[in-house]
Amino acid sequence: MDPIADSMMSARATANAEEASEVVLRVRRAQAGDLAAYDQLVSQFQERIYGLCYHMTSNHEDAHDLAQDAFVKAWQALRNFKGDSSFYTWIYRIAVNTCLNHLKLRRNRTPHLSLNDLDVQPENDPDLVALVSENTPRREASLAELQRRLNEAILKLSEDHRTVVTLHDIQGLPHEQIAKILKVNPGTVRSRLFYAHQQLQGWLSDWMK
Amino acid sequence: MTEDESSKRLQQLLRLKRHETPPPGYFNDLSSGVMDRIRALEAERNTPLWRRWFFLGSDSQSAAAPAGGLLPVWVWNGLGLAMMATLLGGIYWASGTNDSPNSEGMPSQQAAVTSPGLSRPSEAFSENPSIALSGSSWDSISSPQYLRAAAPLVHERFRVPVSVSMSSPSAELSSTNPFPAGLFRLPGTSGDPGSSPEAYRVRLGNWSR
Repeated sequence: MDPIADSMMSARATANAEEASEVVLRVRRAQAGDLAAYDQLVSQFQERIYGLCYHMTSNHEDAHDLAQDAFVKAWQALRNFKGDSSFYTWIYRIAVNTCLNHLKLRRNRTPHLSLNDLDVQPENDPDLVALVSENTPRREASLAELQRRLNEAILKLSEDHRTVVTLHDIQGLPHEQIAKILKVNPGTVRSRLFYAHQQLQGWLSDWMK
Repeated sequence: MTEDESSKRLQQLLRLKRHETPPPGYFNDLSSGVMDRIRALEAERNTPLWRRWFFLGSDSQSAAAPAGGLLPVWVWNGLGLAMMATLLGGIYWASGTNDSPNSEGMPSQQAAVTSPGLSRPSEAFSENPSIALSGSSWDSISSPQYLRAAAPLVHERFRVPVSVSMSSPSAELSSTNPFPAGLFRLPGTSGDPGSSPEAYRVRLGNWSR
């Protein structure tokens, strides 16, 4: 094995272990009522939780409220957290359930997109530049148009399918971790992903050529 | 395009979503909002229950009540109104049944519950007034709550003051007299017919002996 790659992997594993032990310590302090420790946990996970909520709703205002709700619920339930799963998995589960409850309440309403305040720098992503400039039949289309179509397609997915697409394809979580968060089998996660991809490929066929 | 290529292309498209992030500084607001809400919850949790109840409708507490209280404010308001209505109804009922004037010196229209097999005095009063107005004979009935139920019926039907006497006011009965003050009176011990210590009497009109 390449010694440089080997040392990088080792360093990454060490960093992950340190981060995990730091999280454990903060969780214990927070469980003892240390609000500052919980504040650190919130700061540590807020971007990922917010991202989850945003990709589930495609709305920044809703995502902001839902992420806050998830952290407040987690604080209220923190004393019951036994550490059977990692805090990361546990807080994700709370956030997913918060989002799903919100979506159920809004099921009959028309979702609205809020893409005007994105801090998007996709021009720096070579894959996306290639995708827009070379691989689509609509070369004149802007990235914003692609994003709009993408969000519309994702919002058409069922809540279960949207959840696995968000967690796996957008947030990059492995199947096993998603299975723990959703309390389902990894096979169920793969199955949902497969059907979600089938649907998305159909709805985004213009961009798939 | 093969299935693998389609899947890869779709994942490239979905990666565009990773660039949808809120403006810089956005997460400072999110975490501070979370901590503010948690501090409000903790402050409310540390507030004594009586104080929470007392200040439920005030401006300082009404905002926090739905988040941490057991029930929303409007439910508490409804309960308060219902309790007040019940209280007023009870006062009205009591005043309606207690409109017997001072029984001293009023003409006696004496009657008694006379049915030997009487199970419910109210039946006797409502179904057979002649029994109820059969003269000065006395009978006993088995349970004081029957008297309590019967008195308003008698008063309503015959429009006369009602009083009830107990033939054998033992110390226990006297101390636990279940009847409203002013409506029923404990009799003297002299000249009372009936020897049963559990006998109760109903008399229409002035109670004087």
